[in-house]
Amino acid sequence: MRICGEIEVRDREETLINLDPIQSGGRLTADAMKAVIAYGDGYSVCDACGKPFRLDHIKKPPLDAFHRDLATFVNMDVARVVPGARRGFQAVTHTLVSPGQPVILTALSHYTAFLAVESTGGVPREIPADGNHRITGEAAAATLEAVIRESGSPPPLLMVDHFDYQFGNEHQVREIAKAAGQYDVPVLYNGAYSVGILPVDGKALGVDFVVGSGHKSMAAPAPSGVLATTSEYAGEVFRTTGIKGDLTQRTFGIKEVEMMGCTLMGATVMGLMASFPHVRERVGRWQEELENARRVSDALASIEGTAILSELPRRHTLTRADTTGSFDVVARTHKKKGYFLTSALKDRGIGGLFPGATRVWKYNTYGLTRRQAEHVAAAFREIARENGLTVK
Amino acid sequence: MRGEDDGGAGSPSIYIPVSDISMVMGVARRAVEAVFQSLFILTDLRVLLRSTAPDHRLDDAQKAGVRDRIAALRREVDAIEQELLR
Repeated sequence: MRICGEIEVRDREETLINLDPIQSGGRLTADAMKAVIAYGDGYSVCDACGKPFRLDHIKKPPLDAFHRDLATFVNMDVARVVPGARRGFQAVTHTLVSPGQPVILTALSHYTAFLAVESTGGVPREIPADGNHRITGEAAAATLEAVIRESGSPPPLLMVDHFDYQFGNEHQVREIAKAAGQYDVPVLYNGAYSVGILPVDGKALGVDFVVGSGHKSMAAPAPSGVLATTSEYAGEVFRTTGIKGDLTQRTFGIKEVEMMGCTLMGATVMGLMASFPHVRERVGRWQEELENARRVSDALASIEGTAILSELPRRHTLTRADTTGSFDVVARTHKKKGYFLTSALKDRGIGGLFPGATRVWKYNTYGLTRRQAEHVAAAFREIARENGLTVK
Repeated sequence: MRGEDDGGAGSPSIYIPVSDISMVMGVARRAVEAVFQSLFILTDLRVLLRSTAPDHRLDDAQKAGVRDRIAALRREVDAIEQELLR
């Protein structure tokens, strides 16, 4: 079925249980889909935009209130919507980092954090992960001390993920922020895998910036996200324009420089806003999500030769599995080779895994119903038995 | 020139006298609402397909919900037909 030309309808979510590691938290709610239908036109939120002509001041639709609600949601003082978490990182690095300055990241940081540092000419310094692929406060303190010793002054920024994209492991954000606070180093909390799916309290964590991803974890279209900060840093990162045209003498009101004026002017922000009441409610059901994740990870772990590489018990729905000693052994002699696993899963109505992957791969169970999670768990066990693997 | 920016639908240029516009808008209002309502009802059904994938085996409450939505959808489609084809 095609929409037009070569553009096919995407019906993966309607026909399969989708385990894609990056897609689950961004699946739209019904209300977000309806908002996209009604607000798909380009500058659709600008119908009633009046002075001072800025997105977060628009009252109809109520974007002004939505911005305040977003800040409250993550317990920070001021929030802006941004075109993805990466643009939130960039706004902060552009504000705080000068060329040549070291910026603390971690050994599990997302590549966009590195690019945000690179775009300022900053120099990345990574906090190492421990043997369990976790970033600890102790390791952060050691890295901070080493960087200060070498450069003679504290770095301008430390960026840390609450849950990383590689293992879905939880990192010691509170302890890391405490270590950074001893040197007055501002901390950016990357909540791409947390804001919108589990409760996040920026002030309780002691961080200065909270960045979330709309399309990864807030049931919103891409690219969308949130950047929230404290009153202390809001004036810097959301500073307004002061530039003037030399010929025309034009000035540009209260447009914010790092936001490049307005950010999300149509379906993206409306999808984000329409999903928000559901998102606010669903973070309270995080334990149910973890139970589903554990059902699936337990099923995989019960297959002899399989290892869950993420921390156990699971504290996130994103999980990294190693099936080199199980499904990959089957793949060596199977007529479909490495594709046998994704093929067998597809036969059972399950998709989203990297095609051909039978060694180390990731999946995400976020948003599945209990019945769907049980179906996935049963499918892994069944495929293992059918292919001669031992299931404990 | 009218008709060139019609999204490719190829509809002819039509001049509507101002005196007729209020009547036309009244008709259009109901038709527009019915189109949106229809899309929203179909969206609810789409989300149901998602939450029940892959076998789409519905429980009794879900089936009742589908019946209600289809009935509501028929009413909206009837309204579109009445308003646009009279």
